[in-house]
Amino acid sequence: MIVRLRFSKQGKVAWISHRDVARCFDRAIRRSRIELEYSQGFSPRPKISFGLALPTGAQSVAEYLDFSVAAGFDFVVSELARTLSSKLPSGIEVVAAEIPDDQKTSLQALTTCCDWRYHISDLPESALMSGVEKFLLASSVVVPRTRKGKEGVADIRPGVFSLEVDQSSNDDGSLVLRARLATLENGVRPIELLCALGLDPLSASLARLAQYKGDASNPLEILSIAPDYLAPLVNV
Amino acid sequence: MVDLWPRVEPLLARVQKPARYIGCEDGVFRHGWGSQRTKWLLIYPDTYEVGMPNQGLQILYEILNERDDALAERAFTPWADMAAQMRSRSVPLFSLESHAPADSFDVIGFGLSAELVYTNVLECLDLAGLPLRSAQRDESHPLVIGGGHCCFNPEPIADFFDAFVIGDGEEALGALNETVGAFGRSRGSRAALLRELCRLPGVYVPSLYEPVYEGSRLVGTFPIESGVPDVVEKLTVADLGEWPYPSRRIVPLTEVVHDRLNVEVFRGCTRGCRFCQAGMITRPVRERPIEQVKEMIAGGLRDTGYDEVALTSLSSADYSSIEEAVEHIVSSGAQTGRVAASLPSLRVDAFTVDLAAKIQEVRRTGLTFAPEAGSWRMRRVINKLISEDDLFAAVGSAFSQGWRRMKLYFLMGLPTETLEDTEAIVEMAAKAARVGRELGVRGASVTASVGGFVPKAHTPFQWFGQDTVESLWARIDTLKGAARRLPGVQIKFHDPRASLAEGLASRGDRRMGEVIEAVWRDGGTFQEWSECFDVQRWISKTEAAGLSVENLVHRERDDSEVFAWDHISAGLHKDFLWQDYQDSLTEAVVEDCRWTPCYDCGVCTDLSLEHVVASGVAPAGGSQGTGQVLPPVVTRRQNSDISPNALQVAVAD
Repeated sequence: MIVRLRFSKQGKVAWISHRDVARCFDRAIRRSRIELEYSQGFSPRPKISFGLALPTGAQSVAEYLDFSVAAGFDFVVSELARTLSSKLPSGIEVVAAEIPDDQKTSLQALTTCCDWRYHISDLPESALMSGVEKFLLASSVVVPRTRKGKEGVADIRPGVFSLEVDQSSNDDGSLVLRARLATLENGVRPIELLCALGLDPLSASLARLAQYKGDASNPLEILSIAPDYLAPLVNV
Repeated sequence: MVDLWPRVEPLLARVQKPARYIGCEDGVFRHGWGSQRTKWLLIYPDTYEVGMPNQGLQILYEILNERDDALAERAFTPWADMAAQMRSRSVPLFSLESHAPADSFDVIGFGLSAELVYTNVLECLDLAGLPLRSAQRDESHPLVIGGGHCCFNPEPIADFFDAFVIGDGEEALGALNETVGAFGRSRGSRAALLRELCRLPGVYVPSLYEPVYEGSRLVGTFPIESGVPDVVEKLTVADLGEWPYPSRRIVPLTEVVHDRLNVEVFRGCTRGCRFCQAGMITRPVRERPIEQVKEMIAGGLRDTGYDEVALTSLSSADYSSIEEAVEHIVSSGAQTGRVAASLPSLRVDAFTVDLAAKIQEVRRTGLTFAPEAGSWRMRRVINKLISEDDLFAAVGSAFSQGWRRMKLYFLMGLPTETLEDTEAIVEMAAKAARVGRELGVRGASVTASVGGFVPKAHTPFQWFGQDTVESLWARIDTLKGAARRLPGVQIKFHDPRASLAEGLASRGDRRMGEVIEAVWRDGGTFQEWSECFDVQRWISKTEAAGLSVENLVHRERDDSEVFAWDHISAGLHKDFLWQDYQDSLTEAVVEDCRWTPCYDCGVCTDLSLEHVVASGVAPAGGSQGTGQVLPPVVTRRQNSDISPNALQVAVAD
C-alpha cells in the first residue's frame, strides 16, 4: 500500500542534495521500523519514490514522497508520520501524510505546478518591478536550456502561471518575488525565470511553498499541511 | 564564540557538494562554549566524504565529548573551490558543529593515515590563519597535534606539529586534555607546555629533538635537553573491550566513502606480512569480545538505520568469532529491515563457503581478496602465505554462492620481484576467473588491482630500495600484455608516480618538511586525488631543497642505516626486522604467532602485552598455523628462550 508524505526542508540541511534526502528517508524509515515492500532482483531495494527534485540549497515546506508499505504491516498513518519525523535530521519534518485514493499515479505525473518564492538581494525594487512587468506583457520569453547534453532554447512564458513582487517589507532589505511555475510539458525551472529577468542566480535564495495537482486554472495542493504540524515551520 | 555560518552560507551556492560544510548531522555533540572545557578541533585532512568514515576520528571525538572538561568539534579540508571562496571573503577554516573559527580552539588534532595528505595539513593551518611552523606559534595559537599511523615516521612533518601521539590514542587523551587545560588556566608558556607534554607516555614533541647529520647522512635524532626521553614508545590499548567506541554514531547527511556501519572487531595483526606497516605497528592482536561486537552492531543499527555493517580490522575473516558476528548481522534484519554484512579486508585462506553463504543471504557485498603477489615464491618473500588452493577455494566459494565478479589486490615492485613474478599476477587472476566459468558462472570476471609497493617505516622492508617509476610502468605493460592473452581478467593499477611521491613522504627525514611546504605553496593540495596530483612538483621541490629522490626513495639501505624514525618505537626490535628482511630474501617464512610459538619481535616482551582473542581456538581454514598443510617452506627457527606464545594467549571474556 502506498503512503504519501509531505515534508519540509529548512535551515542548514537545505544544502544536501535530492539524492541525500532520499538516503535520509531510507535510514529514517528503517529506524522507525516501518516495513517496506522490496524490489525484486539481484540487489533488492525498498520501494520509495520521490516527487520533483528540489534544487540543492533551496528551502521548502512542500516536498513529497511515496513509499510502499509491506503487506501485513499494521500502522496508523498519523502515528507513522510522527515517528518518522522524529528520526529525520533536524530541518526535515513530516508535515502531512495520507494513503492516497489513487494508488497508481506517481507524484511526478500528478504534479502540475509549484509555488516558488525568491529572496533577491542587491537590487533596487524599481528594477525588479519593471522587469516583472515587461515579462508579464511578453507573449514569449526564450531562455537557453540544456537537455540531455544538447544546448538549445525554450520559451518559458507559457509555463509561468503567475509572477508578482511581494510588497510587504522584509527585515534584511531583500526583495521578495513569488511565482507559480508549471511542471510537466511546459515545465519551467526556477533558475530559468531568474535568467529571463536578467538576475544573477547567486544573488537569490529560493524556497518552494506548494506543489499542486489538477488543472492549472484550478489547482489543488497535493496535501495540505496538517494543523498540528504548523508549529515547526519557520521563516516561510 | 563567533558563529561563521552567516558568512559561510552565501559561499555554498558557488561550490560543489555544499553538504560537506554544513554539519548538523544526527549524533553530533553540541557543548556550550562558555564552559571551562578544553576545546579540541579534530581534523581529517581530506574531504568530508573521505574523512568522516575514519574510525579514529569518531572514537576520539566521542571520548573527548564524554568528558566534562573537554569538547570536540570536527573539520575537514575544504575542496579547492571552497578554499578559494573562503580566501576571497576572508572566511577562516571553521568547525562543522558550531561553525566556529579554527583558531578559537585550544587544540587542533590532525588524524594522519596517509602520507599524501600532508599538504592538506598545511592548507588547513593556512586557512585557519595560523603560522605553519611550530616554531612560529605561541600561547596565542591552538596547540597542533598529530595522531594516526603516519606518526610512526613523523619527521617529514615534524616542523609543522607541536606534538604527536604515537599509537592508540584512547588512553592518551585524558592526560593531554588535563595538561593543556591546566596550562591554559595558569597562562603558562608554550615552551613550558611542550616540556610537560614530552613527559607523557606516547607523546613526541619534535622541537625537543634535533636530527644530526654528517654531510647529507643522518646519524641520529637526539633530545636537545635532559628530561626528554631518548625514545618515544607507542601507546597500546591492551584490552579493546574497555573501549566500546564509537558508540554514539554520527550519521553523515551526504554520501561518504564506506557509507555503512563500521564495527572494529580487532586491532593488530600477527600474520607477519613483511610489506604491511599497519600489521607491524599495531601488534599484538587484540580482539573485541563477541558480545560487545554484537551490542555495537545492534546499537549502531538502531541509531543509524544503515543497511550494511562492515566488520573492520586488518583481516576480518581472522576474527575468531567471525561466523557468529556475521550471523548476528544478517539476522538482525528482523528488527530494522534487511542488513547486509561486508568484510572489507579478506584473507582468502579464511573465507569459507559457510561465510559466503551467510553474507549472500541479504546482499552480495563487494568482495576483495588480497593475495598481494602472483607467484608462490613471491608470497614467501613477503610472508603472505596463501596457497593457490586457498585462493581458488575462496574464489570458488564466492562464485558458487552467486557472486559473478570479484577483485584481487596485488602489489608490484616487491623485493626480488622478476617480470615473471609480475606476470604471475595475471595468471592467478585468469585462473580465478576460470574457476568461476567451470562452476557455470556466466561472465565470471576478476579484476586485478595492482599498486606499486612503497616501503614503510618499522617494517622488514624499510631497508628496501623502492622500485622506480620506469620499472613500475614496465611491469604494468607486462600485466596489460598478459591480460590481453587471458580471458576474464581486468587490470587496474595505481599511478606509479603517486607511489614515488608517497615514497618521498614515507621514509623522508625532517628535511622533507621544506619540500612538503613548497609543494603546498605551488598549489599541490589533495595529492591523493589523481586530478590534483602532479609528480613534477614533488621531484622539482625535492631537488630544489638539495635532496635526492634516488637517495630518499630508491636507495637500498644496509644494516648500518640510521632511520629518521629510530627514536620512535613500535616495540619492534630493529635487529628482528633486519633478520626478517634477510630471511625474506631467502624465501624463509614466519608463522602467525597467535597460534605458534613466539619469535620475539619485541612488542609483547618489551611493552608487557599479550594477544587477546575472543576464542582460544584458531578459526577454521587458513594456512598459517591453523592446521592446513602448506606447500613446503623453510620456517625460521623460533627463539627457544621465549615460552610458546600459545601459553600467553589471553581469552577475552
